[in-house]
Amino acid sequence: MSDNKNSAPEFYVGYLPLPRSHKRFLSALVSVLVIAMLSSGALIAAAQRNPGKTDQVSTQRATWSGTVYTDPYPMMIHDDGSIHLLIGIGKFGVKDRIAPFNGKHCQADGWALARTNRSAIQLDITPDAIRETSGPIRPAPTQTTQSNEQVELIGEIVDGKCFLGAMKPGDGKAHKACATLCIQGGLPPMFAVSNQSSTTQLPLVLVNGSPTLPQSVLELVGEPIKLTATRSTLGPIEILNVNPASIQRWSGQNP
Amino acid sequence: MMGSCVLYCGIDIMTPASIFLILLGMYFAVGTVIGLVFVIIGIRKIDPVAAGAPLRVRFIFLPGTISIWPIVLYLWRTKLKAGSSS
Amino acid sequence: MTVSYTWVQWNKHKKIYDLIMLALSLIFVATFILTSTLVYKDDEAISAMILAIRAFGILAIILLHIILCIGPLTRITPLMSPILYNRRHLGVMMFFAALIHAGLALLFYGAFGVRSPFAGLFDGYHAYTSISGFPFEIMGLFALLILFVMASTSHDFWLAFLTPCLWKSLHMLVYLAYAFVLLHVVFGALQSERHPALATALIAGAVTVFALHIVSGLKEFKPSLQAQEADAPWIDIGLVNDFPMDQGRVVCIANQERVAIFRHNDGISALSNVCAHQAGPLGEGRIVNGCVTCPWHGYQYHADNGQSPPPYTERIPTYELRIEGERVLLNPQPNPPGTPVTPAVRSSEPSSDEVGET
Repeated sequence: MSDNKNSAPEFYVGYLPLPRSHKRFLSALVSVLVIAMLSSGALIAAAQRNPGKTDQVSTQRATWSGTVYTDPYPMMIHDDGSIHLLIGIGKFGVKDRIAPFNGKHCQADGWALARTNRSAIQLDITPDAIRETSGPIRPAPTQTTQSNEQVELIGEIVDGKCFLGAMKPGDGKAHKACATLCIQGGLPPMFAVSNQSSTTQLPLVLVNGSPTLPQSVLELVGEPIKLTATRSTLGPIEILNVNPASIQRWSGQNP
Repeated sequence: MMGSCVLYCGIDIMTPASIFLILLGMYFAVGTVIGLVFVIIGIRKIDPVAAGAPLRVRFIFLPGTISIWPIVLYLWRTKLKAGSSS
Repeated sequence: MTVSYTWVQWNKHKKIYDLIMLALSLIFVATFILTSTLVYKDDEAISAMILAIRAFGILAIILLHIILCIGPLTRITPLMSPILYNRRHLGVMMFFAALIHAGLALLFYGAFGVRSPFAGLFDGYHAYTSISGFPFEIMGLFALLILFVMASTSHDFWLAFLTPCLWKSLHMLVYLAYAFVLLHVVFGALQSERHPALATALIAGAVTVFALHIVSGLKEFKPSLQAQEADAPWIDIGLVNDFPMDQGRVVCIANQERVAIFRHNDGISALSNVCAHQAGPLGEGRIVNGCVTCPWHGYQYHADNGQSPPPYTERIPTYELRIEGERVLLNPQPNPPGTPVTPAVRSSEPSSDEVGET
């Protein structure tokens, strides 16, 4: 080492023993980094937003029975009048799969997903996961519009699988691509309303009477938007008949 | 990454992003071919130290060749020329 | 340049370094996931896969900030040199954290749909002109591609093959990657994660990186020396006693590469300040075991010929020096790399014509 090593600071060489001053400094630095990693891990984790309450029981496979309909959204009407949406594995709907059972009483195997007043059954992939059985046929629910009053809502179009608990959170910017794929794949579009004052909760979306979104609306899935729509019901399910021309990106504060 | 070209089925909209992804997949595919030739044969003629390294060690240079193969090709040629002229 | 290549050029320090960094990374990931599951549990639990995507993404950003701060911090205090020593391994680790983040996001958000995962994730219906619709995923892909170029060319072979100058330029792309990462986060996660602590942390990180670069730049700044007409081309670089024994001094010459001056035994020698390995600042080094030693990775050169001791083969340019009286004069014209130059020594009796009083 240096001749005047007493006056000059110690010099580090990677393949030589660590000088004492560096050893002290590094011990302190590593301690600081450990504390930094622990605190940043905890603080950032705590700063995440709440993904919302869902009743996800997806680990329990179960069997349901009821009458199956394909339109406007694939669904099963149980004997007590309650409705489960029917959804598929991955980012796919099940309209084609259940088409042979339209209007028939069936049993379905799968996993339930639910959020607020909306619930769905994710059909198992096995071929006989949906099968015709004997039982009372419930009539197809009719869409009834109470008034033609236009409501203005702020929120985000989400897909009827992830937002019900398949992914948590199943909304927001990071999920935008996924929600778009899900809706393209035939999963029912929903509107996650963020107006605090609104009584509407998680209605399903129809544009021009169809659950298939036109590209102009698909582009805005997963983003904060403002829209006007007329409200109707399909049995216990709320439906928004959205006027596509009314949709615009929303960057303001939620009312 | 290199499989993006193959995986890229079901194009329904031809946007700049999709064109970029296809080009990227092709870039990595070409890089893989050039990289294999480079680490197995090419490297021996231009780097005496690397020439002494066993093949399994030289394979660690493969990802680098895949990522910057145009630069590798250029320097490879330059070094070969310099080697033959000296 | 090196004697032989191995997969990873580990030594004892590098192994300890890597183990500590790996442990720090695991501490972060574990703390993040554990806290998340404690804060949001049962019917409010965040999906495990999303926690993993977030944990590795944030880890990569934290490591990137550490990497960007190491350089300027080492310029501010040499005590940081051991952290600089193995920065490349940290870079590769950061790339893998980012790759895991990207891979999981591609799988979870992009796969199992009507389109390929790449198409689904990068080619959705985006709007480049809007903040909420801006395709943040493609920004992340750009950053990842740059990090891939850097991680894949981090082996010493690439330094030798590309030459240190080109290698260094390539690795300066890390700043571009950092810019893409910032865009990726600002137009992505921060659009829906609105807790002020998150945006504050990102801004604080960027400000720290920027400030450290400014401070270290100011610290490193030295006025350039120029030849006085009477002495041209020789430049007065100071008194003999300005140069401490066995320590380097950096001299800045107008419009030229910096020169490292070393006083060893009775003589003074001048070498290029640029290490042939990774362009480290030789003038901030020392004489160790009789050789000029680079402060970055310990590459060594003989002071009197700019050649690495055998079996190493690195060579750097040398410069002519002469001593007149107590003044040291430098010829700023570099010799070809490895040219032997006799160290300048004080003449037995000080010369009468003192030069270059400035």
